Amino acid sequence: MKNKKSREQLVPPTPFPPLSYGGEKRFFHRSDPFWKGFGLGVLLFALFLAILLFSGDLSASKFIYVDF
Amino acid sequence: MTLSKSFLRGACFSFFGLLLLAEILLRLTVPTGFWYRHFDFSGDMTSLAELRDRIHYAVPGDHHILLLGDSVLGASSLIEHRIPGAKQKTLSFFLQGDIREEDKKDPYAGPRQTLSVLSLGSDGLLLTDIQGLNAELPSSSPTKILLLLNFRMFSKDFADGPKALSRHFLLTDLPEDIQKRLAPDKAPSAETQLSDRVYAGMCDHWFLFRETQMAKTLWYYPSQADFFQRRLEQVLPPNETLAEITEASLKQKVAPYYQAYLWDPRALPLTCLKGILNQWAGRHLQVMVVLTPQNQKYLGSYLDKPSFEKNRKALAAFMKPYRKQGITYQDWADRYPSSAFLDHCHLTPEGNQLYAKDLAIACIGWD
Repeated sequence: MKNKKSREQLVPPTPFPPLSYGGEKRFFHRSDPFWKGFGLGVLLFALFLAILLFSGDLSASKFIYVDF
Repeated sequence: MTLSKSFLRGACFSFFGLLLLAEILLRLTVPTGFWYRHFDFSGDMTSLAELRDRIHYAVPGDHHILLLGDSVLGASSLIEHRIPGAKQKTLSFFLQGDIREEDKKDPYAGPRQTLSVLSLGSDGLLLTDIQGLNAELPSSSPTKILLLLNFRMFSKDFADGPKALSRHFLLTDLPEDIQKRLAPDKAPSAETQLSDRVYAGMCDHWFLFRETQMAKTLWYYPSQADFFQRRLEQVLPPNETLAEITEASLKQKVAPYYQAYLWDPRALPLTCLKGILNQWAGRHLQVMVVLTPQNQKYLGSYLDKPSFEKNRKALAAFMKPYRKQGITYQDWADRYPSSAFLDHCHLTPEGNQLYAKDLAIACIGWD
């Protein structure tokens, strides 16, 4: 608890994850919730893109000659 | 999984970051014409913003031929007939190559830019659409225009009223008197109006949305239903009975286009054609108008032969005064045999190749 407090005091507030984990300098750490959220964001973006690309019909569909 | 602040920050950072990155990438690449050079988006138009992009960026330079017409130029019928590689067998595709080839052969042509082709042909396009589309063309280009007229464009179904415009985003580009004639009897509901406005606004200001709407033509064209039907046919054998029903249904659908009806010069198709031709004549553009080939044998008893002939003569007479102003007209309605067609007006790949060759020769020779 004491360690955590001192770390919060040292690291200025930023949206990015800390640059070190337990004294080890490392930007990416799989267990960090930021990176887990980052992965989810990528997944959500891919889903959003798929919705944009595959939802709805073309306006040309109204003009095809045979449509059952 | 706990939704900590850090987790949400990571999710928002990557989602909005990728959104921003995609937007920046598209805003930088669309004006270079990259997407138009590498992908074939022809056959449909999804928004006014997309149309403007195509006019300004799809073809480099001002030296090009603009192709205007309906589904005759595109791949919809070839795809519906399950012809492999349909997008490489369209009239506009063959014309691109043939015009360039004929242009190189031209002994009177001096050193100049290579002549390129910009096709704005779309399924279901009508003359009111073409007038709206014409208002979007910049005054400096194009060099030449090739307009393919189809019997369908003059049909009684599209003589007046809201059905006479196939792409409603072009409405504001039309003169006020024509806009009034296109107004529906019953005003669209507030929800429809809002949804149309939101869609148009998103296409105007959001590149990612605009381009993804356009990209759908790469897989769904000509329709989403046809796309799923094609996927299904890969697993199940094609239904032969369905082919017969399809042909009968097609004949019934196109029958009104060839019924006993003499094209009214006051109706919207000819009014708009007059407006378009007057604008082109005023700008001293080189224009060739072609009445596209028709398959009379396919239509059989659905075709009213006397009206067919009278309408052809009337159109030739209508076009005659424009000859002095550099606008040539060719009636090719009976140019090709029935074997060159897939249906009433769409040609087979071989038919398209022949048609493209003839058009290229006529286009190069008209100046």
